[in-house]
Amino acid sequence: MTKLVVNQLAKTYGDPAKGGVEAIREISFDVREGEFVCIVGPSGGGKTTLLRCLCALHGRSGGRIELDGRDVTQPPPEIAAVFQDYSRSLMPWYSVRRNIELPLKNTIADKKERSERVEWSLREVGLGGLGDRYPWQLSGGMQQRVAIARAIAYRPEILIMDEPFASVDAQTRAGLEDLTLAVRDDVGAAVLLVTHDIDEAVYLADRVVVLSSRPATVMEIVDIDLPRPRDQIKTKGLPRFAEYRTHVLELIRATSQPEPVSEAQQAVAATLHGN
Amino acid sequence: MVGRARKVKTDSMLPSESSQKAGAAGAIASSADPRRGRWRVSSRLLIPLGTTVGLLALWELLARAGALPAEVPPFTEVVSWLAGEFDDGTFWDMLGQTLWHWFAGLLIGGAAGIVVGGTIGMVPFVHRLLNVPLEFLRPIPAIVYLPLLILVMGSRSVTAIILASLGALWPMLFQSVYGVRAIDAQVVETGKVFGLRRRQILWHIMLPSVLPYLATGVRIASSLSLIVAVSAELVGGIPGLGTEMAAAAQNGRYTATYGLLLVSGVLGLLLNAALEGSEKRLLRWHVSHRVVNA
Repeated sequence: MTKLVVNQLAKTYGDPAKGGVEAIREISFDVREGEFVCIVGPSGGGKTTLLRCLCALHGRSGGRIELDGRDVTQPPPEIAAVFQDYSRSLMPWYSVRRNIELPLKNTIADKKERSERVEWSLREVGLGGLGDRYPWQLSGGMQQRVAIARAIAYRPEILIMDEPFASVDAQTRAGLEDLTLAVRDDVGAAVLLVTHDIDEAVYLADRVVVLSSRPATVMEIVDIDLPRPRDQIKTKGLPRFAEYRTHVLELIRATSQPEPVSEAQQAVAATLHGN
Repeated sequence: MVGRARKVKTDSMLPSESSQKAGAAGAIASSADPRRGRWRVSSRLLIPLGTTVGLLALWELLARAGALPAEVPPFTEVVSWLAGEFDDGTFWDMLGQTLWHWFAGLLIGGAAGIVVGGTIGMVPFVHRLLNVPLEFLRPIPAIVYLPLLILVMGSRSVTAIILASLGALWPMLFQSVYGVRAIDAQVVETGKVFGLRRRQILWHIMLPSVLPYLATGVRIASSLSLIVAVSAELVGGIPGLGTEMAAAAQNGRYTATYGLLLVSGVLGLLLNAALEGSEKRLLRWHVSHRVVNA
């Protein structure tokens, strides 16, 4: 069943008549229940704008976002988010436990049930027993796992992740990718993950939405037909994986701006033309 | 399927092995050698103590040798005068007066600074409204208003309190503006996405974000409040340490003058230490106070 429908979504910052920036233009796609959708696109291409619209963090210039058929106008309780910069989205003044518990105060009235939920989410991300720590006492990868724990403790129907693994090293990154897949299986939420890493998108997703450069439009929605459970070595070794990867890469390359010409090259060109 | 523990192999569990112990065992000695830790503590206390004792000894020596003007008594004489005063009830009354002026000034000026500064920081319109008058008033020292206030209110405690409040107002006001401006939009948005209500965002996110700025503000405001209170007493004849100092100086009781001077200095030192101590506890999560187990 379709969970989220994005229809003709557009967002322009500022007044278009006075040089406002058109970030996204007529974006349409949908997310089915429990589906893993990755959004890839060139950097600076309005991916984050799209997510901010979905979380209703700012208004949109046009189009509709429907969650279970209702228009999304304020942050919906069915959506939880994990942001790229864990150090800025976790609260350093609260322990890991309180960070996770705070949003639950509005959804779970019973104190015991709430703390059970917190402990469950910590175990789920492999941080059981570390609830009393402060986020800044943990490594980057662990902090991002706290952010994931906070999101799943909220029991979202859609988990939105904005470049969630871009700030950690490659080893940690692979671990977090697999953790996300496993957690998704346990929680059953749909995941909408934005990344600029094509390998990551193909590895994780059921479908990959490829965006063009600014203003972002949907270039293609690629169905990823790879067996689950996915495995960092086996899945990435499949010929099909390489085909998907190449296909998405070609799309992205086609839309990316050509490399800017360097000053030295310009100087050479100027001399050659005699001025 | 729910509730099973999961181990992630690729991500190291802890930043470093030693951090677990150091985090629990305490701030002072994270190194393996306990003697080095003890040395660090004692040096932290010994060095400032050494300079203080050295300076006092120098004062004593120079005064005894006659190198200082006759109006400056040796340190030991000042101390023995002070020791006599400690038995005297009027000394404690004076001290109490000054402390009251300091405290009321800090409270009133600080609260006003937080309210006005917070509003300026949050509402750009209010900033535009008040920016010019505030920048005009800011460099005027609080004590300048003393003659006018004495005319209107008389040489009473209220006068000292009003002036001390003015002294405390500015640092709190500007720290509040900076603090509110420095609130990270990302963490506020995270709160919004997770359905926190406005009141919760204010209390759980905005207030803790501003707190480090306010703590600095309180420390600056506290010393300014004390300075202005003592000056107002000294110049305006308002009961307190300041008046007593002025009276002693005018009557040639220099031991008393320096004794009271010493008391106001030690007062400032103790108040600052107390504020720093509570700041350290309240803001132990903040970068400047973190016990980093590196």
